[in-house]
Amino acid sequence: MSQSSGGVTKPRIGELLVGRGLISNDQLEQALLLQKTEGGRLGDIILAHHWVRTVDFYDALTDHFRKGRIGDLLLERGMITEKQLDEAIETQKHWGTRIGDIIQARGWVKPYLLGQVLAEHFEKPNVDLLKNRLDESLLDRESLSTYSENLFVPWRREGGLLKVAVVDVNPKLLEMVDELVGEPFDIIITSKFDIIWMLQEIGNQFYTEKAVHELANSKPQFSASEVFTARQLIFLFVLMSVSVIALTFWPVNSLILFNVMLSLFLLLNFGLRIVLTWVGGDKHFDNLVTDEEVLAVDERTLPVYSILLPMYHEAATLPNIAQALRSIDYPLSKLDIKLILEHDDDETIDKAKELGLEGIFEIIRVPDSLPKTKPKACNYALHFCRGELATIYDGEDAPEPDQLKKAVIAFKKAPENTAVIQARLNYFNVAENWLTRMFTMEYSLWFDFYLPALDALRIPIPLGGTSNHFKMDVLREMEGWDPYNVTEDCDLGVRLTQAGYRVGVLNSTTFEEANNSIPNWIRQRSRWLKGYMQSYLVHMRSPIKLYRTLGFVGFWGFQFFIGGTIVSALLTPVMFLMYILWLATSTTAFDPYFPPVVLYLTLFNLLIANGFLIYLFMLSGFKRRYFSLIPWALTVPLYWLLQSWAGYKGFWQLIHNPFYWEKTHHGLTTFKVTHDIGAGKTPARTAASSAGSKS
Amino acid sequence: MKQVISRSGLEGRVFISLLILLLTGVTIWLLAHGFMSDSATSRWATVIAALGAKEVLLENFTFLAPHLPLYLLVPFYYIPGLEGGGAPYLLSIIASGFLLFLWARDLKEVELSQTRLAMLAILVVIHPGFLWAATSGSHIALSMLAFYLLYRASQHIISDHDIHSYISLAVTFVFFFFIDGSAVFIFVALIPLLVVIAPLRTIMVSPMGLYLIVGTPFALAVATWAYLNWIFEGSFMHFIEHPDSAFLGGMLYTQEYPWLLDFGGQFFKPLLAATGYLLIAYPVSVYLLLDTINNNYRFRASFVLLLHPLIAIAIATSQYYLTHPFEILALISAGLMAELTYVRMQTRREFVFLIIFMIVSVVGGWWLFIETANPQMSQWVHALTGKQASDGNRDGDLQVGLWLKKNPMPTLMYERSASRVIAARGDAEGLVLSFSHEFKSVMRERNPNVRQIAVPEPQSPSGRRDWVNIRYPHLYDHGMTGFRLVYDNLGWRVYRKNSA
Repeated sequence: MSQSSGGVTKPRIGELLVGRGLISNDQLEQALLLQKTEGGRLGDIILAHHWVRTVDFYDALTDHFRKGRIGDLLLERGMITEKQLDEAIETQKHWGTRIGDIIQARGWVKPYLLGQVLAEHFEKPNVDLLKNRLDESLLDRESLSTYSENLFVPWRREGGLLKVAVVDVNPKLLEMVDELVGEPFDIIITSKFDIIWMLQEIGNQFYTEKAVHELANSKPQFSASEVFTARQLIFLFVLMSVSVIALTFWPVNSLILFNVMLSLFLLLNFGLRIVLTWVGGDKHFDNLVTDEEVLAVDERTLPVYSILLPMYHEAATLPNIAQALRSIDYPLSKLDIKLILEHDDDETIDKAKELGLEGIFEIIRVPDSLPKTKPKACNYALHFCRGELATIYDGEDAPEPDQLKKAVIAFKKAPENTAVIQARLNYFNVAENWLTRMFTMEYSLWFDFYLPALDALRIPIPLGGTSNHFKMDVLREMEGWDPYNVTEDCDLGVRLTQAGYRVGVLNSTTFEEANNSIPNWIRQRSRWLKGYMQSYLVHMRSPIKLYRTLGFVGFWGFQFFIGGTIVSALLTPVMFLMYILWLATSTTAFDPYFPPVVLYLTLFNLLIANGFLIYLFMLSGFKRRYFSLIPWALTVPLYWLLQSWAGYKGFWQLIHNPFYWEKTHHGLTTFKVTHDIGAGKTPARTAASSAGSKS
Repeated sequence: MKQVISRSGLEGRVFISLLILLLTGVTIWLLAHGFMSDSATSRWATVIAALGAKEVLLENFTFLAPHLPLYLLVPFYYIPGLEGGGAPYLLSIIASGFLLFLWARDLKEVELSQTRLAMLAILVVIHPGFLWAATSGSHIALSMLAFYLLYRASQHIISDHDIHSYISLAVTFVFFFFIDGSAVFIFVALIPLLVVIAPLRTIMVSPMGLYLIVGTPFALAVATWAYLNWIFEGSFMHFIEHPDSAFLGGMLYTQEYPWLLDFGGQFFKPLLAATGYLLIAYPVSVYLLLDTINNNYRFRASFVLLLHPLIAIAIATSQYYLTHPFEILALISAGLMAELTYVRMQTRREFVFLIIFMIVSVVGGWWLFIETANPQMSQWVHALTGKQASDGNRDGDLQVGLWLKKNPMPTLMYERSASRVIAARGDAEGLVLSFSHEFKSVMRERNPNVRQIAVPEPQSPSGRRDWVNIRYPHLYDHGMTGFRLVYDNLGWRVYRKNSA
């Protein structure tokens, strides 16, 4: 078994193994005898007899097998230019990843071609799994997630030796394979797309089952699949019965009591928002991670980052987000980007193919199943993620380029139990119309003031729909998102806090497309409010337990921040209507129900609280330096009415169609997608409006 | 005080407590020598009238004066022993003490020995502006607190430009409006000066945004007040139309105030006069301006401190509001305190100069205060020097109040011009006062169905405004059918129903 490459004679395999003490001379002689009589490769024979573990075998012989350097091989075959190789080598010094990964991330060589070269490099067979299908009987169904997360899969058994298809060869992976298969094995090389496609085809049912039912099966108390529990229904029944009896026998006193409770609730709700604005307005939150810290990051130490991109009929926005991710300030070879597309969304799938995206982009096709929600799709894709950290972006997002680095630094600076860090969300089409202006101010208030304050006060943070950066192991431990909850992000934030994890915030912004159409906005907002109702119901199934886990501040913060949002939305039109009726008719019909103290409370809420809530909108525009928005804040009561409309729609759906995911059309804006929004800059309108899409 | 506060905090607190004890002692001394503030009496009377009514309602407080000082007096109503009207003086001392503690906290940033800081504190406290505000029982102590916070917020805008400083400025103005009617003028005076305070970039990009952020809460406060006036009194403008309104200042009684006689309705002349007052009473402001000329940030703050009160005085005088410049000028003491929290007195020479200018300010301040004093201020100075400021036996309001206290009986009276009577009585139990439904119903009758009626002499200033006199013009002189005269002393008469 003499080996020679390029005129240099390599030591024999058997001698190497004996020399390292991995096999004995007797075993070597026996192997050589078998090779003589039965044929085959000596290495396969040794592995098949399990005289040596595959990990130790390749550890000892890696250099023996390696043929040339990957870069040189690619250059020799004309797959890359010399300049590209030099650039890749230079990049490698900064990124600390393999040349092959860098070349693939740059899109210079297609993954399957790289697989071929890699196979040649390791002197291993390269197999196209689509043409040479694997033996499904070799698969352990319970390990499908491990296969997909680590990109290997048992392929076939040849010569009594299990062949495992891998994308890369490294000791850690081989250790894992060895542990999982529990028998002698050898490797073959394939492309990562072959493994992903193959596993999706074979494991669709498994992954779907996990994505839909995992949370409901393992932690049913946190699943929104049951909208109202029996106890909640009984409570509602008792409450309503008592109310009817009270109204029948003591109508005036009952209504006064109701008014008192309502006024106090609204007052406290207002008070909480004032406190949050003050606390969240602290300068400290704008400098959680500084530019200097970002500049000082050693990119070689950065972890692999998974980016989930759930999309549905968003072909138009795909090029934008792809470009935004390409320009992100993070080693591209450490990005693991999943385009999560629905099985029936041919339009976006075709677009993704047409764009010829680099190897860091992987398409995950989510099979058709109910509920057809974003969290389910993300749960599905989670089985294919390889990152230590993960985040979610929407198709129309434009994150600030240094966001991922900032998230890594923020995790390092944060307490150990920090599970997720929420970046700020804002809009690039701020000045498109009245609705986008309102929406922008609302988001600025929410993400620039409220969420940092919630973090500081240890009140559960309802995560935003995108740009939340997770520790992958915790996310998996939490069983991902609740597929039945239409604001799965909000729910997950509360669940994490309950599990003893911390939810942090980050001073980096992702710019999105603000809804510029009222019907579309109503659809989106009704889903959000319905989701808030779902989340509230889920977490209030055991109020005492919730109180124990969240503590006094956390519990009441949850009541007023989540509950308050729902109650405000539902009550605003009722209060407005009563007020207008009183104003227009000067009726005294309400007088008995508003004794002096209640009247003063109501007046305070009407004048001071509402006035200051308008002012908070102004402050949000001021802090973001969207000065032109400030006068528009005076029109926010109209926006509250829209919110109420959406609230009632959400409430109706909660009863009649709780898991229905109201689709929001994206790509309706005429503004250019950009993260470069600053004071005095007016985001540009594009020449023509792009086609709409849904998410 | 920095070392005192930052090391243990104890010595600093002890020193401030001693200063507060000093203020308390001075107040007791003043009261013992017959000083009585009209403003304090009026507020206390309003509180006891409102809380002593059959039904405690917001409208009992009337909407003719800012409410916050009244609400702050409410807890004192329930403390035994304070019926005599000491509560407003106590509130002034508490507000001043709070201001001193706040100042001591903010002075942590100043690198000065405790002895030097104590010297500064003493010089601040003995200035007549501060001492008058702290011991006269008026609302000026609260105004001073608000002004201190305003000025600190302005300094923060200049130095830090963070959202907290803008919120602080805006919200302090809201509180200021509910403390003092002159807040409107202080707000308006700050409008042109915002361009000095706010960063140039913000002003260039969006002046309107800046003004909305600073001004919206204040506008909301004014609108809220107008709305409450509409709800409870039927007119949005009630608080600036009613002749008894404190929001009108001296407008309807110009001839009673020399300052308004000289400068009322004008802008530049009172501005010049106020500048002269400032140069005499607070030359230290000019020193601070010159001292900071090489420091852009601090210079802007000193410039605002110098100019802002002067503009406010000029505007308030032009609107016939301000009855005496010290009503606003005294606030400079608070501004000065805020300014001192930013002072960097690195050399002994700088500190000596500051002390000299502060001593000159104290001397000039006292001279000016005594020379330009209105009757109330004169009474205060008299009492301070140990002379008896007033004779209770010759005080008609006091005497009738004490008589009513001895003869508790439901009595119809117009309390807005008789606050001293209510205060002397010590409670409003059984009184039929102008905010009550009973008062309105009684006044509709030809012969009021009430057991007793108290009226002041119709030709006196308060008698002219008295609704009972207006409704029954011959009552004081000729009595009324079915009523007999039971009290007639020092310009007050009380008629009692024959059947009672």
